[in-house]
Amino acid sequence: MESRNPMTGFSEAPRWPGGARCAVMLSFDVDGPTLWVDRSTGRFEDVRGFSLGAYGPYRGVPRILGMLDRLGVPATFFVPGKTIEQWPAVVADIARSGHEIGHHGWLHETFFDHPPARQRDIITRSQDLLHEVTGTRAVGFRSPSGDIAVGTPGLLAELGFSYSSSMRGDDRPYRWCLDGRRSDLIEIPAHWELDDYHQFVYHDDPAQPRGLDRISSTAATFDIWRREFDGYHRFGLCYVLMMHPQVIGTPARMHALAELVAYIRAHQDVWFATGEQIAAWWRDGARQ
Amino acid sequence: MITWPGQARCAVAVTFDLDAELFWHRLHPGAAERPKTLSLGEYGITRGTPRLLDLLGESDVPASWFIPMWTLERHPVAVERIRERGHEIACRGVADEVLGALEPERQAETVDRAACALEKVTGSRPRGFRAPPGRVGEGFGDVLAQLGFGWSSTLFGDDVPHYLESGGTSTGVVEVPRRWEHTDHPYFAYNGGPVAFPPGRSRIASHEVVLEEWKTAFDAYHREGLCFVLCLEPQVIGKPGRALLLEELLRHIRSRPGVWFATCGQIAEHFRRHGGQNPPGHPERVRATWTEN
Repeated sequence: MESRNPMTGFSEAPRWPGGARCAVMLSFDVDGPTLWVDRSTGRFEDVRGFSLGAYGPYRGVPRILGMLDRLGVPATFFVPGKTIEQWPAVVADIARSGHEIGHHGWLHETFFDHPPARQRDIITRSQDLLHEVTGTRAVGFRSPSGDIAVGTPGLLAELGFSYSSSMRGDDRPYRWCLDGRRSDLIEIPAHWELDDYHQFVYHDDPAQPRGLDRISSTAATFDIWRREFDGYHRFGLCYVLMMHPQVIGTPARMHALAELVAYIRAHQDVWFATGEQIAAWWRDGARQ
Repeated sequence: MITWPGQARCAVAVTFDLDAELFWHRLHPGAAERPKTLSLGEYGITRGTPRLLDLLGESDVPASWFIPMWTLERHPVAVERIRERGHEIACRGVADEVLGALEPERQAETVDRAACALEKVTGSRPRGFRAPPGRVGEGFGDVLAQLGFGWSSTLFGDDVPHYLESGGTSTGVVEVPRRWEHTDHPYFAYNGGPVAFPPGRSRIASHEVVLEEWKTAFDAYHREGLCFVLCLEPQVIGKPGRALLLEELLRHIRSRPGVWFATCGQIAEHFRRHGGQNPPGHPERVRATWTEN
């Protein structure tokens, strides 16, 4: 994998379009209630948990679309098939607004837990429905929880995906190495510290987080994100915020996000892009 | 109380545990089959370490790197780069062994294996040791002394160096003690299940809170003339924003008069020349007289 030369030091920062110093990808995983239902059947026992998740597509996404529109920045929404089925109008709105829609399983399945044939079914079923609702198919794939199986990238390449955004091991894109060969499948890694879910999610039963830790303060989380952006900007990397409308879509957190985006935008040399744009740039020889 | 070289008021050791993917293998055997989880550790080698080496170079700070044999075998180039930059390389055992669960002879065998592996690569026998996670047995100091180690940085019982004792007698091995509070992974490391860290999946601390914590701690060590040991892991502190946090902390430390940045080995050597015996009541001395009930 060309970008993974282990010890060259950070002096060789990637090149970004238009001489930009770093890339910024805003991403939203529109999981909705899939996080709070039985992942094999889709049934729910608890109406409270269901409502916690449903807040995302119902309240969160429209608020996010409004904010992106006001600030004029693009984003990528990874949407499970079940969310498309239950909120087709919301998903059509995302598509109409020009943002990218990526693949995120059917019921937020952990891909690691499923054999290849089942993984293929999950991918195909969601793709078909997305096509029915928006007229397009996803080119990007984010594995729910990031837990791909060893063979998942090969399957993605075979099914024509342009990129995956599931791993944690780099701070810039790289090409997947499949069967010992450099492939055209690009990975755009994400990072736990740039994820809103584990910072803010809270529910008593099932317990989230497992130890029922305190809810992190908005200021503390945005301090992490702002300082990490400063680092990505300094070193010229690809900054991927991974958010969930059911979590980030509350009024105060949206306000803080708008402030962060404004802070980032105040830098003249930042390339805001969708996953699709970043993958295409990387594959087309950005590093040659 | 110990005095420090020149006019220094306090000593500062920056240390790294290069556990890489081993950090996750130790938590759960299932890690081996989880590409995303292992990629967290790989980051420490491919991105964290080079970034930190550059930062240490720019800040002119020497560091002590504790390298498990597991990492040495899988990432020899990383170890070579660390060595080339003139940092101290010390031993961190083989892999996931819990020293205190082994018989003393097995402890010695294991630590010796790890030390020999390092010696083969670096050309010299490591003088320092930091135990891998898990309990450490009563005979720890003896094992290190027997294998020719001069110092350890494993225990928590003091804010200044002291001698490891065994049965009430000094082993001659200097301990450069550390604190969990000055370690990065309790604040920052995170992964979801099943290879979860922390097990309760608590929130990740903010950079600002930890930076303030470490600055405040250092200021107190400086005021009281102690030995401040930072324990870091490249996969944790080597992220872009956290590298800037470390840079800011080092700048803060530098801005204070009379700071001696040193490797653990230099600190241990200084203590050997100028420090005294462990005072009465010292954890190392009390351990020898500890009775059940």
